[in-house]
This record gives sequence, C-alpha cells and structure tokens, in this order.
Amino acid sequence: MIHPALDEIYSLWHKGLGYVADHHVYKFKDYSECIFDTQIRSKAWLCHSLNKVKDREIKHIEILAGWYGIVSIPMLMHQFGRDTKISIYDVDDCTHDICKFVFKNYENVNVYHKDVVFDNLELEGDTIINSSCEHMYDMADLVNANRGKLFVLQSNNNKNVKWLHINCVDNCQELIQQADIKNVLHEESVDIYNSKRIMVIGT
Amino acid sequence: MIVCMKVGKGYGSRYVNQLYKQVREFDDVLCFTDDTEGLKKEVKVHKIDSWCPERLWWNKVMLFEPGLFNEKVVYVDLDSFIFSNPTQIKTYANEKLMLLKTYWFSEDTRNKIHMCDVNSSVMVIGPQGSEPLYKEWYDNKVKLFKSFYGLDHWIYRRHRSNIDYFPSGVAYSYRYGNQHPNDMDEFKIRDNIPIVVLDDIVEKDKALDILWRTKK
Repeated sequence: MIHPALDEIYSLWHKGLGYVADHHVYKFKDYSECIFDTQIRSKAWLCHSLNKVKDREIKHIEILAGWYGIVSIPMLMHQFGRDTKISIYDVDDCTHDICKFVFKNYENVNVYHKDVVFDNLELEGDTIINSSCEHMYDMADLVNANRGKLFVLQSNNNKNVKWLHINCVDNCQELIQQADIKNVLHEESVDIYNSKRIMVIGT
Repeated sequence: MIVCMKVGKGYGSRYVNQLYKQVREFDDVLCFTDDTEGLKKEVKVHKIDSWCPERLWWNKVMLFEPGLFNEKVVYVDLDSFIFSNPTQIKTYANEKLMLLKTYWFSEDTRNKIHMCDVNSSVMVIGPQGSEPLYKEWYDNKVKLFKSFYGLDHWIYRRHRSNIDYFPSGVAYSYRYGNQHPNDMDEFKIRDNIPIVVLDDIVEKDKALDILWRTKK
C-alpha cells in the first residue's frame, strides 16, 4: 500500500533498527512486524476515517497500547498536522525503550511505559486511540472515565492468535457494547488478510 | 497431600487415576473437580464449579484461597508425571506461593520473548494460600480473564513480588529440557528429577502413555 507518510515510516524504522540490534535483539522479530502491510493498511484506514467523521479539532492524541508507533504517529501527523501533540503508551518495557529512542527528536511526541488496563492513566488528550482492543480487557472502564473524549477503537475477529488475541469481537455492535460507546460517529469493518478488522469511532 | 484439578472435558478421570498411581506410596491425592465420575474411590474429592467456560486453567486460582488447606500441599497439573516422592519439594516452600520457573529457557528468552518465567504446573500452596493473588482475582475475575491468556502471565506481570520460585531440579520440561544451557535434551527421561511437565507437546497423550506404563 502506498501512503504519503511511508517515507517517514521507513526512515523511522530504519533508525530504530540499529538500536534494536544493539540493545534489544530479542525484539527483532516483533520490531520487523510493526511495518507489515496489515499495519500500514489498518492505520491508514484509521486516520482516513477519523478525519472524515471527527466532531472536534484534534490537538492532542493519546495512543493506548501503541506498540512502537512507527506507523501510527507519522500517519496521524500527516493527517492532523505536524504539531499535533501525541502521547503513546505501552506496557512492554523494551517496546517503550525502543519507541522512546525512535521518537527522541520529536518534541510533540511523549512516550510512556504504562499498563493501559491496570495503571491509572490521566488522559489529557481530546482523542484516544486504541487499535489493539483484541489484546486486552474491555475499554468500557476507560471510556466511562473519559466520557466526552473522542474514542477511536479497533479490534478484530481473529481468535487464532494464541496468547495474544484474547478479547476479539465479531462485529461493530460487539465492540460498541464492549467499550460502552454511547454516541457512534462511525462504525465499519474491512477484511484485511483473512480476518475482519473492526473499527468504531465515537464518544 | 497431592492436589490436582479436573474441570470440564479437557482431562478425564484416567489422568487423575494415573496421578494417584504415581503418588499413592507417598501421599493422598485430593482432586478439585466438577465431575467425580470414573475417579478411583481412594482419590479424595473437593467438588467445585468452573467459573469460566474456556481456558479452564484459570480455575486453579481457586486454590489460592487463604485457609483452603490446613497444611502445605503440592499441586501438579494432570499433564505432569511424577517419578519420585514429590512431597520433598515442600521443604523449599516458605510463606509465599511457590511455583516453577522456566529454567529450560534462557533468561532473555523467558523475560524478553515469552515475557513470563512462571509455570504453575507445579506449586506448593500453604495454609495461608496466597491472599494478594486470590484477592485480586476475586475482585476482578472478568478483567483478569480478559487481560491475560493464562494465570502464569498474570502472576508474572502483577505478582512477582508475591511468589517464590523452586530452585532448578524440582521439575523439568519434557519438551524443552531441564536447564538452559547445559541440560536441554528434549523428550529425555530424567528420573533423577521428581516431576516432568508436558507443556507444549503436540501428542501429549502418547507421551503420557509411555510415562504411565512405567508405573503399574
């Protein structure tokens, strides 16, 4: 898939590669997967849809369980402006360290080592993204604690990823219920490489 | 007391009966189960209801209830095999819940790839149970079930300070060996180690049959 942010994505990925090799060699496989075509397509779909339906000016985006952010952050900045403030959270300390290194020169990007489900998060952003809902507990608690903010949630129906996909959904309605979204601005599902990817945007 | 758990349709009564054969000369067997059919009469039973429809291993958390046992007990999964007196491993236990560490993997593999070095196939549980684990589970069952595939990952991520590990040599992995890097032959019988766990084996029943035939 071609996207205007691809040059920056690959440049960032290349920047992190040496750091992974020197400091986190066991993360190499995981790191290499973060720019797979499935990721490019999912995040492009997210940004495009969010831009179409947003009900507010987007100034500060919080990305929960954001992994390395190498695809999402450049795409979001391309879509909403390079001075958009972005906070990204991940529970894995190696992932967090790599992400911090990759984005160390981005003054508008803050990287946090947090467990999205079990840690107290003080989310200051106006828009909250979680494209990994299938990996964790229902987003309802967070949505209710931040009612009024714009939530962009993705999940999928692929239950075959053992250990990791433990809270899949089969359709948009399930995700809406799981997250207790009251005001749905957009709901859509697409097939990406033999699994159904599901997205809901709302408050 | 040797404790096991048989819930749902995963492992039938013959697994419990085989475990009984392995340990009857050392101690009694207490089986936590939702179905007593087919169990030998010598096996003591504690009836339970499963609280989760799938990933039945989560039911093991019930064993952490403080006061459930009035003495230290050894718990083993039904896909384990016991070569020698397992009660000796109680000597390692202190006040905390005692579990296996996956010594058969390197430290980097355990912590950075698997992100878990806990294996609850073999445990020693004291009369005090494990209150921090039990309380968090009791108050957050669904949240934990939907956050972690298995209790091992939950314990590793959130309760490492509330557990202790057996030293190497209490149990080994039939699939991966005993200890990285010096003793890693797979599918090898090591009857000098009390217990073998059969995690991650495709033809588990076949492997267990071979081991069971060694104990009449």
